[in-house]
Amino acid sequence: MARRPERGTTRLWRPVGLSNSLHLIALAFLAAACAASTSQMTSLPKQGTAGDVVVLFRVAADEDGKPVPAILSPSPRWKWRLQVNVGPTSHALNTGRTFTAGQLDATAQEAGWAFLTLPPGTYQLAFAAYRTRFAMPGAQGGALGFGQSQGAELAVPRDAGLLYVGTFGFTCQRLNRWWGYAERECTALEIRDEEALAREVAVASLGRFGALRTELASTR
Amino acid sequence: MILWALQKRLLLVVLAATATTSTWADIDHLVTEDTSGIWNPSIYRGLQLGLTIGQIGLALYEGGETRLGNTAWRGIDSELIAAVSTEAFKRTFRRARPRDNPDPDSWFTCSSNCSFVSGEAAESASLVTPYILEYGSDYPAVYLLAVLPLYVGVGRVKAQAHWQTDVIAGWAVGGLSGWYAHQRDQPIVLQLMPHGIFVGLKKSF
Repeated sequence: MARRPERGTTRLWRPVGLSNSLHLIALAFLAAACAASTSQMTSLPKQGTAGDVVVLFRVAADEDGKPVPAILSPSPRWKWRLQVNVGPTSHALNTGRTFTAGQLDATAQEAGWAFLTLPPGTYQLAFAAYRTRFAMPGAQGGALGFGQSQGAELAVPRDAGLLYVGTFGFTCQRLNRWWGYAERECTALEIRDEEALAREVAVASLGRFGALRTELASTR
Repeated sequence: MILWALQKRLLLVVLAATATTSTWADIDHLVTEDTSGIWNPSIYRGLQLGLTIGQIGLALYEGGETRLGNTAWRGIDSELIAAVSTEAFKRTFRRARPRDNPDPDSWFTCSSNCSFVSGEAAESASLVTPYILEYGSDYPAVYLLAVLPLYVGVGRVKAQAHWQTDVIAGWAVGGLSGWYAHQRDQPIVLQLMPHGIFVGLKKSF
């Protein structure tokens, strides 16, 4: 039982209850588990590991009708970069859980290619960026202009080692409001089939995961 | 992985070596006061102020969408983090300045304007670290920027304003602030800025 402070004295600290401690421990475990699951998704599976599938995809963007570089890599950090968010299709993806997708070589990074390592199942995949408003159904906004696109649904089959799910093309416009936080507004997401390009990337960087299979994602 | 293990061991050795008071006492000693010429505090303070103002100007002009501008915004973050950290250290450890008390072990005695850690040393290290980390591998001449914290640190010891360990700790605080600001996904202050500042004054007007 916690001791009561004596009358007329100031209590220096409040006794921390068991429930508070358990909450903190649970939060720490949750944070550690989240970090571990993200790192698993962004690392290539070890050779001989059965189950996980390497999901290959690309992002592309048009700004005011012109193609602009869209990258999924963490650098260069002064350029517009997209992060990913992946989760089950049963509920909306939390914008606080976006992360940098798995990285391939520099050439593939520059062209907007990245991967995720996922166990077989059905997922939704969304893209997020700082200072970007996604004006599309299912999109979400965060603080200071952080935005997340609508989710695209993808199915990861059990018998695939390497899967191409499409090229996610965003149609965006540059915003120029002096006091605004969003630098661009992306109004459409189109999933394109660039299987031939995906094969080249697969041969160059992911050959050890077997033949590339294509199952395009679809917008919800 | 091997490099990380070695770094960790080195860090442990350094921590173990510096954790003993005798080591600190070995490092700290009073030097003859010299505030003439380039060691005049107003000279290096003016230099730091000039560089800080220059950095703010560069950040505002360039914005966050260029490599240089983005690094300048990280430099601003770094200086702010270092300033807050050094103030926290000063208020916590309350070490007397050498000119006020010649005993380097006079911790928890000073009431204001305390010695540990050196604010100027931390500020100068925090000012240059983001640039060194960003450009060092491409342009090795950028490492010459490290002369600034060295100069300021020596100046502070010569002015009898700081003990040697205050300066070393100040460099560490400034360096860590710079590293943290550099490795962040987005610069903190820039994130709070509206479009007009984010793209840089060169583009907004």
